[in-house]
Amino acid sequence: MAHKFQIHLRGIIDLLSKHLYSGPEVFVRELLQNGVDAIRARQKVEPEFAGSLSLELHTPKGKPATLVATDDGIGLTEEEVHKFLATIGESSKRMAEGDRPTDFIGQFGVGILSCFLVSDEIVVISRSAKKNSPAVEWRAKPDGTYDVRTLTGDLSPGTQVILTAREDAEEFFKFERLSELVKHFGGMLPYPIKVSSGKRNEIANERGVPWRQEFSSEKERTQSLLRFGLEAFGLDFLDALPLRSKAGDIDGVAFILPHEASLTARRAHRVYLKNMLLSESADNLLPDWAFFLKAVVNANDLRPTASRETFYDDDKLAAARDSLGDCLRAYLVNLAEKRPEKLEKFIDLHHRALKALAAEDDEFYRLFIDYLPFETTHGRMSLGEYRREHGNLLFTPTVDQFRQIARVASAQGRCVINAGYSYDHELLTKAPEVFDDLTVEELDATEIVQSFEDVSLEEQESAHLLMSVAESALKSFRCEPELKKFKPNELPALFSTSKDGRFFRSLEQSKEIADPLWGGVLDQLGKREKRTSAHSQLCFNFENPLVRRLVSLTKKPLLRRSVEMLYVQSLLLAHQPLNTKEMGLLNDGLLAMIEFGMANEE
Amino acid sequence: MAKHRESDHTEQVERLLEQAKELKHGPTRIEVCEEAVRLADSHGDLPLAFKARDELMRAAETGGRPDLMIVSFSWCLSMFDRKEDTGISPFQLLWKMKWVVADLPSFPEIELPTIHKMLDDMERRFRDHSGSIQPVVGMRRSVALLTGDNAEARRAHKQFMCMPRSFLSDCHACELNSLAQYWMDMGKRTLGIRKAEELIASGRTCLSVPDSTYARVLLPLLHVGRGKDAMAYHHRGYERSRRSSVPLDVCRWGDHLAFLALTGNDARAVKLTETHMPKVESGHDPLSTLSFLRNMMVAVDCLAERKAKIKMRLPVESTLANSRGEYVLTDLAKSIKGRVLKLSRQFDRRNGNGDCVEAMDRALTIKKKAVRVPLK
Repeated sequence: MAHKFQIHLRGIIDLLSKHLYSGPEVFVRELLQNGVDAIRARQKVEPEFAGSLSLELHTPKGKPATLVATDDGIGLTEEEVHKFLATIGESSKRMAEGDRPTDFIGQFGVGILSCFLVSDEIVVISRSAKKNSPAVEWRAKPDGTYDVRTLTGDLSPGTQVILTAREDAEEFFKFERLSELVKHFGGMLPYPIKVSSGKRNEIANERGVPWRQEFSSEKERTQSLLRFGLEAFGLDFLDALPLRSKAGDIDGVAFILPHEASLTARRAHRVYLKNMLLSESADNLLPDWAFFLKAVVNANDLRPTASRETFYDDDKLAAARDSLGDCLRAYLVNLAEKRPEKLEKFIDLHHRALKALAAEDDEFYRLFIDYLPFETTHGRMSLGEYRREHGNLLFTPTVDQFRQIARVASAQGRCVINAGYSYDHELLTKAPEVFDDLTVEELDATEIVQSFEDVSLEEQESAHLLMSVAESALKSFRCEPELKKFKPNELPALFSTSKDGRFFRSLEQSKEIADPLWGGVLDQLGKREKRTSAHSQLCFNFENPLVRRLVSLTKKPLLRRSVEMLYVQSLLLAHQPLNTKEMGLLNDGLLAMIEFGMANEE
Repeated sequence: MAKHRESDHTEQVERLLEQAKELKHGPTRIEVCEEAVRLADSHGDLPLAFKARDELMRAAETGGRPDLMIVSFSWCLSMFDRKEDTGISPFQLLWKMKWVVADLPSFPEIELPTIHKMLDDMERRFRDHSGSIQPVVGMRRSVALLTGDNAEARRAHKQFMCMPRSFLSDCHACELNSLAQYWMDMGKRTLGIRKAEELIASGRTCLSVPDSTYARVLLPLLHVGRGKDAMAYHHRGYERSRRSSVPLDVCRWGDHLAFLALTGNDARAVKLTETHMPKVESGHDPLSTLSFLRNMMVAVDCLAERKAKIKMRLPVESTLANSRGEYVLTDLAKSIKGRVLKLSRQFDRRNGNGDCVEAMDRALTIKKKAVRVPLK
């Protein structure tokens, strides 16, 4: 024999609500949703029918407040009451109405039963618009029982839901809170919703959908939308643009944020499904690069996820995302062509977003790359300016290298771009694909050394002893000495190493502490590329007074000590961590200096 | 740029790591992490040096720098073994040990006995820490596949399939992906495809899964005559990979490339080559490079049957590039084959078999299965 589950309704409702909904206030959405569905159903039979909703609060002294939600929609017969009101989880009247199964409530919802979140009793009085059906009263209790009786009076078709405030939910039965919730969930609904309490009353959705109104000009539309943005989010947005997509049947508006947005900040857009609020935090509706805006949109043909936080990521959403992306692109192109001042402001705030887009989209890259700003040794400038003034692109891949090179490069009169920020590297290396005859060069400290001025033969001869001592002192550090003339003069020596050199420094560093097994791995890995034994260079500056002094020295041990100290100093200037041996040089050097000083003292 | 207090290195390192996390995976992210490591090292701040290397390892592993992964991991493990107060958890370390051991076969200079000793060391560490060697057995299977040792792969696979998972096991998506990979590598295409499609249908994802799965399954699908399905996977997989912040391994772009040429979509194949060649030529993973070039060889061979010459942009540093930007396809195919052969021999010498050279000859046989499939 088959048995039926015993269900405690209130428990189930709580459970579902906590997991599916954000809070008890969703009962307002469910009331509105029921009303709207009922009106739509009636319009199918009576196409001219207008339809309206009302939520009326009654607050008798000494008694709990009540809320009467009324719609003049299709109404229910007794049979429908049993079938629709008392079933959880089954697609109810909306299926009958022929709605698409994209509707969430038809799939998992608890519909009107969510009213148990704020009221211990739900009373529904309904009269079907169908001929000869008497009015019905349905009373439900949270223990899962309900009574139904037919009424005799002559009611007009429609449905009333009557709720009584439970102690812990009184705030929802206050005019301000209720009308705020109705605006929140139903502000875009196409039927007037009247909210009233005593003498106070208002049409909560009087404003209608801001972006669907008629405007006499583009400017007026933008201004009106910006006002809406200010009211809705409290932000004075930079600009507003319409959004539209056939896929998903979407329309809405996008606001450009008036402040810089973080690349990793969560995108949270306000989305409506069939004009009813779905979520304030939908994050997957717009392309990733569009993190500079806040969107408000309605979709008639997308599927929400079970949590109703956002849309289900399927092919339709992907197509919608693409066409919304196209709207944004078109807007930006228009900005570049027709509103240069606006574009300037926009780039000032949102160049990182534009860079993200340019990295992803070749067409966009072509259009915008020259407008985008980069940090250079000559200050911030757009790539267009850089190209006009300096031609081929010269950059360092990290902020660190930029810092090391900037001083020397500036002194040589070279303008170098710092490509250490998000997307810059990607964007610069892409440039030759777009501009013919443009080359891009990654500047390495070693290369900068090559561009320094050579010393004359006599100068070279004068420094013979210094250089040969330096060679033998630096050999075990796999570092080669060089002698050149460069600016700034106060810099005695410049340590430089390439990417490979840096890799080998790390490898040596790991080897210092590795056990034999890992030492073997590192040794074998180190064999990979046959390269010159030197990994780095120490370039002495012949223009520097200290170096000139060293050139005149003849005592080898003193010369050697000096070279070692200059080597360590240049490593530190280059932000290179010292290995054990190098640390040893520093300590020995200091000790020697102290001893030398003490010897003089005595 | 704002002026920073140079003295506060902690703040500086943290800022660099934050900056790194905002970057897409790739060379720049790696360099920023390296900078953080150097800074932490030069202040001798051990916990910070670990933290920075942790981020560096993630960036290196995902950004195609297995060499750097090995070097950084070695430092961390050695420090950890010295039991200094490091703040690093053995869990983090062992988790990354899976990556680093999987990276070893990528370099022909790293000898087979070294790799096996490393697997033994890994096994000891996993047993001591978690009581389970299941992830190590999975790794033995992967390493065996990468070094052309099918008997060992089969043995490890059988053992692996009987073992319970542990908290150090790969996620379900990755395990399923490895399983698909195993069957495809062992020549059981239908079985491999089934596992790959199970993974795709499950909706499970990890860093590069199922993006890499979409690519890996393309050629086997052509083999069994399912060109149209393969095209759908090509679109989805390629699009996903282009959008992802985790770059696809270069060898997997090669799958897409060969697939496009085999299905007669020459223009898109050339475009793909132009887009991804710079990454291949600046790559630091010889095994991936070999796999890409092998597929490129197949693609160029296909094109050569339809055309004599082609205009194409190859990166200047490539040994395949010339200054005119125009290539006689049969010559290009020959040069690629030369490189593939040279690399294959290096790996075969290390592995003590002829697997890679055989794979090269086998690769071209798929041309018999070439079939025109329109892009849309």
